[in-house]
Amino acid sequence: MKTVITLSAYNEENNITPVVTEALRCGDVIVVDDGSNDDTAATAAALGARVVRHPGNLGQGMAVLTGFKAALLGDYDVIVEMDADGQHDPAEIPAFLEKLEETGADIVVGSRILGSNYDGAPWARRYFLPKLTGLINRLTGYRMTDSMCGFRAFRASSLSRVFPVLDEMIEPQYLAAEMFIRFSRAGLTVEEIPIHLRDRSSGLSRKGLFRYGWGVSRAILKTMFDRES
Amino acid sequence: MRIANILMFLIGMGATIQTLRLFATNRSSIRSTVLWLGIWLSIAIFGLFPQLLDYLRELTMMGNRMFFLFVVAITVLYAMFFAQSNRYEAMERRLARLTQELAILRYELTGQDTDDDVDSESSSAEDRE
Repeated sequence: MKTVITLSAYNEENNITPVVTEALRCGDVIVVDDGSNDDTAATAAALGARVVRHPGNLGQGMAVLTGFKAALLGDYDVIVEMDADGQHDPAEIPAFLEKLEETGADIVVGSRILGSNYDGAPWARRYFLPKLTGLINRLTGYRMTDSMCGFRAFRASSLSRVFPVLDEMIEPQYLAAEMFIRFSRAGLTVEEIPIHLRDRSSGLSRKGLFRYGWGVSRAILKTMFDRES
Repeated sequence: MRIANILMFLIGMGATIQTLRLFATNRSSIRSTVLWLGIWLSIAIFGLFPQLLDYLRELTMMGNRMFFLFVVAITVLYAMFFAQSNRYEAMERRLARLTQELAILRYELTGQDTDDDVDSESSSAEDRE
């Protein structure tokens, strides 16, 4: 299956080299530089990745959507989304592809909870993540353990079918919540596999936990009332 | 007629004329013009006919004239703020989408950012450091 890996990155010049290098073993790589003011784009391009640059910082959700758009321009069978901070291991990409082939699912999501080392996550995330995922499962009929993990693989044909709807997202910065609700309305199927988080090579996560949780909840509510898709 | 009433009438009429001039010279939209004409003409009319305020006050069963004016003003301000807030959010969303489209268009045209573009910007980053 012809595969492209999309990475959304913001000021990740110190982390992106091993991620791009390893990901290139699995397929083409598209790095979406979300208005970085360091050498993220130059570093990625020098390694052989294709780079899409936002003129300014639009947030991770918009960067992921841009990655999807750029990927859908090419002739790929599978689009893999992952983080550029080194926490996701590109060596696990073949497991996603195997699951897609084995089950025929439209989407395979990675689960940090099914993976072995989520115990090291902050307590608030360990507490709230299952609650948010449970709510999304109830709204969608999916049976996920981790809806917020940014390590996912999509069949390009399925993603292109729903992309016009994704493109009109109400709250793109809280992509996951809206995305799964809209996927379920479009009848897409989701499977899950365990993934193992690595420590960030450098820097700190920029997601404020409570602000993110509030944003996700708000996005869920808005999407529930938006019946256009 | 009190001085305050005369002032209200003059200010209301002056602002009405200014609003119409802005609309005539395409510096104001229809929506904005209608809104501000409504506000300024109301002030002018209440200045000319202050008994109208009492009539409206009795109709809405509010205590006194000043309280009635205060409540009306606050309600109008909240409504305007709500409308502005929605417009601001819509503009933000449009701007984000336009920025995204620009990035994709550039990517489509060049295949990716050219080495020259990336190198020149990275050397600027080095200069800043």
